[in-house]
Amino acid sequence: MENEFSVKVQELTRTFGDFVAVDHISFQVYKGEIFGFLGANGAGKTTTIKMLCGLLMPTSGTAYVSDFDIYKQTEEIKQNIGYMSQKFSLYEDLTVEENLEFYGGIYGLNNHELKIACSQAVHSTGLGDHLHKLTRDIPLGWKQRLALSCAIMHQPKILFLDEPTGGVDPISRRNFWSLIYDLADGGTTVFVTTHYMDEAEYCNRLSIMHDGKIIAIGSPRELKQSYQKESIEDVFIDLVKK
Amino acid sequence: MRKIIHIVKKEFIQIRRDPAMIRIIFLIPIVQLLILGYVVSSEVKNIQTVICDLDNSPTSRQLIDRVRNSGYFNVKYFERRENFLYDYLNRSKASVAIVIPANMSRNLAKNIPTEIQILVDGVDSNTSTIALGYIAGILESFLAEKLAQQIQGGTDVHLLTPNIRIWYNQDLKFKNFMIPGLIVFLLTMVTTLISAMGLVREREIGTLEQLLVAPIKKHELLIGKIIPFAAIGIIVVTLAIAFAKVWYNIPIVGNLGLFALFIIIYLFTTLGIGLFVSASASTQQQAMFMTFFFIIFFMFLSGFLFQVENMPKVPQYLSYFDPMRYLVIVVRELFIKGASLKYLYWQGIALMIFGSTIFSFAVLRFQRRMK
Repeated sequence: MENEFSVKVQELTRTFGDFVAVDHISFQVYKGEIFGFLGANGAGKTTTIKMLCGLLMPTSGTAYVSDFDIYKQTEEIKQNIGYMSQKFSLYEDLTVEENLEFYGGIYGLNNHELKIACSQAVHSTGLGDHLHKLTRDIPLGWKQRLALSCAIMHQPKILFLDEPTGGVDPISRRNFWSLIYDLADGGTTVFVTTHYMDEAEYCNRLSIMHDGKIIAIGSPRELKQSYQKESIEDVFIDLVKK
Repeated sequence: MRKIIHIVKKEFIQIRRDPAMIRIIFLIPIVQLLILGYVVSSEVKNIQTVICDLDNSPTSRQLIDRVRNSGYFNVKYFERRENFLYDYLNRSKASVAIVIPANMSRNLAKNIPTEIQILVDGVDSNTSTIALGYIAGILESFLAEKLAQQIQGGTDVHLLTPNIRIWYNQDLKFKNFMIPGLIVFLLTMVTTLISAMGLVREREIGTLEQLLVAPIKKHELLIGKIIPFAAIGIIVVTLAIAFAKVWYNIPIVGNLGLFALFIIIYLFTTLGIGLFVSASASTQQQAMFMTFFFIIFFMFLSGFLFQVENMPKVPQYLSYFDPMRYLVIVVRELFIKGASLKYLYWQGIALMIFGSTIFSFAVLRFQRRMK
């Protein structure tokens, strides 16, 4: 029987000295859903994502990403995930096309596969006009789309986005989310952290994180109903105040 | 393998687009050799000298001519009063004073030991040591000649003249000795620095994290990063050698293939240190300071500027841990003597041990997942 979860986390904890960054959190992410991680800066969102992507060793707890153990099977996990950080992590002195080819290349795509992946990226993001420009010369909104394209060159099953829309104007953010929806429609599981309340509303399911703990989890509608609020923003403020 | 090629390609594109990098690769070796070449190989010449000739005989005048014609001493003053000599040294009018005692020629004839007094201004100890060496040489050959004359009853002057023959570096040019060392220093500096900066820069801009979530093995990443730096090192060395040959007319007697082999072995050490720094530092600034710590240690203990044999015991022992020391020896032997591998294998073994140890240590130090 195939597992219905993309990510399964049990009591996952990470401490830095005395500071507990992530405090015994547990949750599951279903295949093909857009799962949001909402929380203020320093709530532990990035730490959680880094543990799931194999960048940071957990202190305790268990987690499986695409059925692979995050302690032992990081190589298998890496082949199956895409990751985009808030810094966008592009080479500014490479052209848009060179960035795409490089990131595709380090996932082991051959020349033929690279070509297909590049033209797909151009098709879905409209980067075509910028392909031969240096990355440092294109606007931030385009960099963001490029970073996303780089992260999905190898068609990962799960995509981790760590505050992918930081500092980007509202129209670009809207466009970006439509790309995320396209990916989810294509079967990709999307795990996204954010502190924008409007973005939280776009997610299929949402967990609210505060001081390293998950304090609420559910679909945006369920959350609003159970806390009897008009918007996720009100739910969030209400929860964090307690 | 394909992944390594992608990393190498990316690195080369970045180097090509970075004007500062291009300058480092092409200008640094030439500019440094051009300027520092003259600095490090400045010979001790024109030593201001005062002579007090109390003997005032044909023999003593012969000796004075020898000193003059050596080319190292500029005999500017003659002083009859011995106790006035200090004045010349005190006022820095001269840095060497030679006192020829009154009875020198008589003593020589009777085979009685004679002392010739040399006063040297020791403020610049390096120059004074070299000056003393020159004088000792001049006196030695002068006395040997005189002795020979006596044995032959003064008939045949040339029967026992010392036949000094200098092997290798026959024109005794200091630059032939110093410039190969300078090339080693340049190579050490450039390759250690760029490899130290390489990964740290990616850490600073955040792309390292992106590389670490990709399914690349540690060795693939490090090898991919290092191949371009090794290439830069080889370009720098080639340019430097060509320049040394053309500009300074340094004789290159040795086998260039052997030279290339040693350079490649040595690159594991410098690139390994760079990687180690890269793995330990979190900012480029830290990396820079750590690198200079190593480079300065290497330079001073290598025997490139200061003779290892003249050092106190402790730094002498420490110098065995300086990989640059071995390459300096190799390069000098190769350039000047054209030594073959069998005279250099011990250095080769030492460099291989350094290279493999430092490189593996750096690889172990580099962690993909933060603890």
